Amino acid sequence: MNHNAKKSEVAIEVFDLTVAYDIKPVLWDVDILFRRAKSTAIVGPNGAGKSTLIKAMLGMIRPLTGAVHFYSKSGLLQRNQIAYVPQSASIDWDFPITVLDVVLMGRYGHLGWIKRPGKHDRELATDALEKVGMQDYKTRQISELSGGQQQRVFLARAFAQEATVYLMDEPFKGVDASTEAAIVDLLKEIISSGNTIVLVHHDLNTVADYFDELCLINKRIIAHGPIEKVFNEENINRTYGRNSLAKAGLA
Amino acid sequence: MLNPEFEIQLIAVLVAMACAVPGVYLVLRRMSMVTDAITHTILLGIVIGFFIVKDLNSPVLILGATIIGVMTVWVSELLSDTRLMVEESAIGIVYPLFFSIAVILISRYAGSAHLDTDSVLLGELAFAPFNRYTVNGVDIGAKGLYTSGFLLLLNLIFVGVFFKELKLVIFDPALATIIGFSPAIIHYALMSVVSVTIVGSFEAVGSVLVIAFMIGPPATAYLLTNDLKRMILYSMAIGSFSGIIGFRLAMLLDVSIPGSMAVVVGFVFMLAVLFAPKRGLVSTLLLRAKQRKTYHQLALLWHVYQHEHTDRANVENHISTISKHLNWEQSKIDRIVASLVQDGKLQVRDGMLYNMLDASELEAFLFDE
Amino acid sequence: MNTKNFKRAKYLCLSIIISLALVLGACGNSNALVKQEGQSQTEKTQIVATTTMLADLSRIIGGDLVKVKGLMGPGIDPHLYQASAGDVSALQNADVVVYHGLDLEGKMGAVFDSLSEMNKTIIRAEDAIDRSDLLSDEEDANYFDPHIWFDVSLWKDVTEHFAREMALYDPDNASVYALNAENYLRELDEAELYIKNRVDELPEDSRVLITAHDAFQYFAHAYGFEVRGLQGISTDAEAGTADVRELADFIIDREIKAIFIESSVPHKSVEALQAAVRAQGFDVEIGGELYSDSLGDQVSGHETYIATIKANIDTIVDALK
Repeated sequence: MNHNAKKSEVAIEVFDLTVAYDIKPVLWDVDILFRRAKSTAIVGPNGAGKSTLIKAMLGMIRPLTGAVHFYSKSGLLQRNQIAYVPQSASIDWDFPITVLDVVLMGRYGHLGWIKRPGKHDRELATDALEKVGMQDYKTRQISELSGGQQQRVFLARAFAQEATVYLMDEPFKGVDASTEAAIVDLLKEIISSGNTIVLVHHDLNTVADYFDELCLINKRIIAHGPIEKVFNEENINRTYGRNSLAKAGLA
Repeated sequence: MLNPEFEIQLIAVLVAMACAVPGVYLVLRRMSMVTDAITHTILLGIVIGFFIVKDLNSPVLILGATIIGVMTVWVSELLSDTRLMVEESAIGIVYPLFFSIAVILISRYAGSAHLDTDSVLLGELAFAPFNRYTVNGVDIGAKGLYTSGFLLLLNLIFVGVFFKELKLVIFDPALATIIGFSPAIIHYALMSVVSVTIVGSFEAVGSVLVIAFMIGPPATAYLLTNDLKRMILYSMAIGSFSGIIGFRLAMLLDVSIPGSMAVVVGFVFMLAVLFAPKRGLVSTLLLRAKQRKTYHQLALLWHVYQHEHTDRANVENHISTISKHLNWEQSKIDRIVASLVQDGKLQVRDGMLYNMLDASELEAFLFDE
Repeated sequence: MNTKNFKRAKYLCLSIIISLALVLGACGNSNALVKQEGQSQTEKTQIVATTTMLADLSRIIGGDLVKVKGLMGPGIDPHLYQASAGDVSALQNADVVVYHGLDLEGKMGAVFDSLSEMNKTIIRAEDAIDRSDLLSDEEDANYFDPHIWFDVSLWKDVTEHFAREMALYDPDNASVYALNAENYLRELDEAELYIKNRVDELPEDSRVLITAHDAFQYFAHAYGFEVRGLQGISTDAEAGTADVRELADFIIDREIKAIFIESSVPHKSVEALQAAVRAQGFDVEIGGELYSDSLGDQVSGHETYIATIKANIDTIVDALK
């Protein structure tokens, strides 16, 4: 890899990961380390396999080759430590469920089968909602929220999960500027308390302000490392194709 | 024995409640077609069961029906996993396939034997009270009461125990996978319960009513509430209510009992579509009318505010000329101006319109959520 | 946890109680309907019969002593019968339930059998027939063709059986049933003779009956016809394309003049057969509509068994002559 890290600094290791939906792989032999207490943006053009990488890391897709380890162990054991904030479009917003119920789902992994959430779980969920400023919406049905509020609820669910690794799929999609700023503050807080974030991002303009590290992918890893080392014209061009800075919206 | 009218209603209520419980999850998973599919494909299970035991009265046939019910969903799932089609289309392929295999088997190998779903499953609610259990010659009630009671108990226990898991798996299968609740296990458990419920209720009330009870009340409840637990309770109540009203209607008109119950289920659903408090057609139309009015008001206010301090104000903001600028009819202008004046958001002096809202207040109105 | 479970249980109990209350409330006024038992000996005997044929027989043998309710109406395919709400109280109030058996009524038959445990007298037409007189299926010896009413001599057996059973049920009036049966048997003898005479009008090689489904085996067996049906015995099975082709060839080969549609079976398949024959340049007529699984209605004037079988033989002979 392009940067070395001690074992203790690594949150997620991805080895030789090749992922195919049908026959043809959409991600080729990905090797990557995500460092602890850092935020990493995964950036690339449409169809580059950004969401696929996240899903493969979560074990939602079975890879053709390779494996993913969290804290040097095989994924399954670490499940409660991993929080996932799904892409907004993948959620059925009309589902009869309240904000508090969604956040409580973050506790399910700790509860295991059959056991129901109790007082302690409810308190943790309420705390999480307070953290994202949504405590007044507890009993609302989720379709009654704006796009930004919906994202914050799913962040609260991740908090309630007491996770140490946060995987997010385009959390800023469909969110207004003020909510985006609020979410960025929350992300920084997550990092400062020693947790790790990996998220799919689409806006090259904000990458440098928001994140510590950048991973450029287009069906394979193009470049990965600290923003200041990786975020340059040459790498962007290699990811998006020639002279694509303008195309990607970065004048 | 109990009065047969009473028993019919009791069976209908028990079946309605038993069907409503898994039905809620089918509606939420957008898998309503599964019930229609299973009520047909179980014929294949009956045919295969018959070939094995050569006896129309054997429980093996009912077991076969249940297994094929689960298989229907299982094969559909395999097909949709290939990503060549969505789940509903996959069911749409598997269901006629299984059903026609059954029809072909019957016409090829059992052309003469009177073999169809009716000959194995009674499927006629009117006769359910006459289909009785006796122990040592003592009558202990209609079979339908026992099967439907058992199904209700089974479904309540299933949903009671796995309430959290079902909710998680249907709402967010991704999270379920990550934190170690296999969506596949929950899903197949649900489908087995659905299949058992359909076969068992089919015997007591017939296929039409099974479909009506399993989908109608949950679809109605979905329009009435935003809470999953309430949705289940409402579905059970709506199904029971439809069963009882449907029965009385059938007695009144001397028509088919399940038919009339299914009609009431449909009618209650139509009422909900029209009049549900939040999602109903009427309240949606009212809400849209209200929103339209609000946006018209805001458009007019914004126009007034924009031109208030310009030198064209007397042309742009005069009540007699503003209609030209907004391209609205004068009657509409008058109506909206009147409503704004009433709310204290606008004043009219000498025919000139004046915005009464703070600039920041107005901007907040227009551009914030 | 505990309070929540308690709340859930409370909800559930509440909904069950409400539902039960509704059922009970709804039942209150229908109780009156059932309070008629015990009066049957002084009043008319209440008979419920499944098919139109059995309802007719019950009326004739029972005469003024009985009140008959037929479950299936004229023109109804027994396989497609749907009970109406009134049938429930009819069955509940019935003293005697008459059904056909031989799987004609499907699973309903099993239900009727269990009615005997509710102090109702059950009469099965099936029991009247000697096993050796039943026509079994070529492929499955355990399955018997239920369409026995097309052989008048078998229907005479059913008549005698019915009168005997009624005499057992109501010994005081045994002589009335016996007399009614005797009279009716004579009428059936006449009807049988009428059929035989009409059949004699046809040359022997024209005695071929082609219909939509195999309902006429007993008719054929009794009166010397060859029958071919498009479908199997059950009306549920669909006709296969090979069946249509084979039958069309048969019609042309034998120069058969007419084929027949049936009152309780859709006409489409017979019309398709006619088209298949005409496509090969041979003209076959649709000879008319035969009553198969039910008697005629009052409009047709064939609402009795005798009128129906006479109408059938007239239709057949007139078309094939």
